[in-house]
Amino acid sequence: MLTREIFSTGTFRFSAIASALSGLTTLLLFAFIYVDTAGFETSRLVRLVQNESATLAEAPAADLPRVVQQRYAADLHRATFGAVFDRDGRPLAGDMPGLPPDLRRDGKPHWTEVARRTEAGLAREQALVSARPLPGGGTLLVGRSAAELEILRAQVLRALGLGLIPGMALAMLAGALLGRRTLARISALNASIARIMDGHLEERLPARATSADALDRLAASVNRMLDELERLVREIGGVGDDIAHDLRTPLTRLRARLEGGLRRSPDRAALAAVVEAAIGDLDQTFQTITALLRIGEISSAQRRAGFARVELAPILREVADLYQPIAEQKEIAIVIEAAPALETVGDRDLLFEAVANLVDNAIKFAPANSAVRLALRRGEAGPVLSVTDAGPGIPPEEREAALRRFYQADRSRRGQGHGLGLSIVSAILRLHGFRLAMRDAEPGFSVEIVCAEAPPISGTDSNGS
Amino acid sequence: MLLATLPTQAGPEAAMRQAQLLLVEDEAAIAEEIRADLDSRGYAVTCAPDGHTALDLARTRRFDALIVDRMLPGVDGLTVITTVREENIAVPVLVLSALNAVDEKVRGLKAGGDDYLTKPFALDELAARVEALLRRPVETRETVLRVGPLELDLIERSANRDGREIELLPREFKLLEYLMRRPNQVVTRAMLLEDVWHYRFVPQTNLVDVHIGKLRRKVDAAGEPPLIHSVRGAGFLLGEGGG
Repeated sequence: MLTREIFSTGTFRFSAIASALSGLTTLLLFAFIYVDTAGFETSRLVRLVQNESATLAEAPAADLPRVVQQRYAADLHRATFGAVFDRDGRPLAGDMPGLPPDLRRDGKPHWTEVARRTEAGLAREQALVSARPLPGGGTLLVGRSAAELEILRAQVLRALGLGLIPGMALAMLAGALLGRRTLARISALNASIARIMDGHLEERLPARATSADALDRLAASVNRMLDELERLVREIGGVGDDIAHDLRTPLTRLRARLEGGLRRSPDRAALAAVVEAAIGDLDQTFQTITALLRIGEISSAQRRAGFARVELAPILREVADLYQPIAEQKEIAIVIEAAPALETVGDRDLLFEAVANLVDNAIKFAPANSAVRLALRRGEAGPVLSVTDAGPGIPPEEREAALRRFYQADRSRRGQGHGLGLSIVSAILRLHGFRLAMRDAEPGFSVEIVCAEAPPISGTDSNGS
Repeated sequence: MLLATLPTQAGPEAAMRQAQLLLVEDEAAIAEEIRADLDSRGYAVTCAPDGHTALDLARTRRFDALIVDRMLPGVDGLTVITTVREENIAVPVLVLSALNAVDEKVRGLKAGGDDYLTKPFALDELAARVEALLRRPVETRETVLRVGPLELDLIERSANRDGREIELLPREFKLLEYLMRRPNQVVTRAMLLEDVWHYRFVPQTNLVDVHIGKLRRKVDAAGEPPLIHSVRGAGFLLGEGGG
């Protein structure tokens, strides 16, 4: 059942390719051995035939047929053979009925086909043959059968078959087994992924921590990515619920108001009041939507292109100036404690907006007859802006939630505003890579913006003037 | 009324004749509401549902102001504005858009728009913006602005009402100057935030009201007829005799 898939695993394909390559190497090796050995054997036969021919040629011509007959009759293997022919090509000695037709009579060994008499009749075979002309027109022929070379080749081929084919089969088997193991692990991964896609976001891929191989390391990185995705998805889910809730509240109120007005309003003036209140509800809804879009707008990274050096103390002073009248109304004093000449790199308008939102909150929650402190000091990492009020602040366990969209420390206190102030601050700081810290100021509550230090002004600026 | 048929001229006649507005808006329901509202305020409104019609009208007739939706079928709102500007048709343009982003606003103004209003908007806000476009602020050579008994000395940075010295903080001075350059004209909270404070965002609190409240207590002392008026649902107005 799994076989088809096994053949398609990377492991199996890899081992198939590897075994094919090693088979090819073996084949080449054998071919080399064969060619080399055959070459050596051939040159040995050439020398043998030459020597034989030369030795026989020294015998007296009249004796030659007898010498040849005697010399080879005893050879049982019939590997080496000799023959003498008269000037007309008639055999005088040896087991050959005639001269091979194409043979050159130059005394040198040549490969050719010869016919020899055996007990079973005339047999043809390949042989290395030298034909030497004799004085008086006759021919001395000496040959050596190629049977030995045939045997050699057959043996090499047999060895090749015996060694190569089982070796390759073994390699393929190992590949299949390894492929099967990989396949089992991939099936496990696929099963996990299918469960995650089904909505089980908490599911993780199986990954061995000890003796981890490449696949384990890959699974581990995917798991880390899943951790981050799970966090984001849960966060967005929460935000979606919050948005729905926050839009639903004024819309529900609006609907009830319109319905009631339609039923009960006795005259035009009363109806006008209802419509006016309804428009107020709608405006609140739009305010929320605008703030949400604003957060999205702030979060788009292209705003970073407009970053420049920003001096921070003037921002504090301008925000204080803007909020002075409203603070006075609540009998709250705005106190500025700003160290001079502190700069950061960022978008001035957005930093202004962030500080304004913090001051807005501080004034909203500070008790009457207290002070809101705007401070700027040099911190370890860079300039630190802080807004401190004497209000109750946000309890430690709710501080992280406070940075999410729509959070208001006390939901019943929602009057003005969309409750997105801290979320906007948080988006602005995220864009800048700055950090927001909340702490108890004893007494009161302090929100800090930890900025990055502006890099020192380059040489061209400092050596001038 | 007779003057309404005459070509536009600079001068006092312009204020008397009915101002001609071209509204370019593809959504019929919104266009009709805007038209009816501006009509009730005494403007003559011509509607164009798309960019081509708008350009044809702008080329053949004279308008005192254009109100152009940013997103239109066919020729886009920004293209209408750039074309109008390229053809040297001198007319103030108010851009309407559902796009809130600051970048979009900057693009709208760069294309040649004179003001930018984000949807959804109150009709009062739209009317105030149109009025502001038609009545360019008083750019006097004189260094003293006067509205009724109120005097603002731009050099001395001082203010008085019938000789009564009014002590102003710098931001209050800026605010009063803005109002006095637009006498008897409704200015909205958003206009003040944008023009006086150069704000790019809407603060959560009714900051503008509080600032105006403080200024009003200084300008309109007890027993004096009020000069700074709140206009319900719209904003504020500085002038004699109320809005």
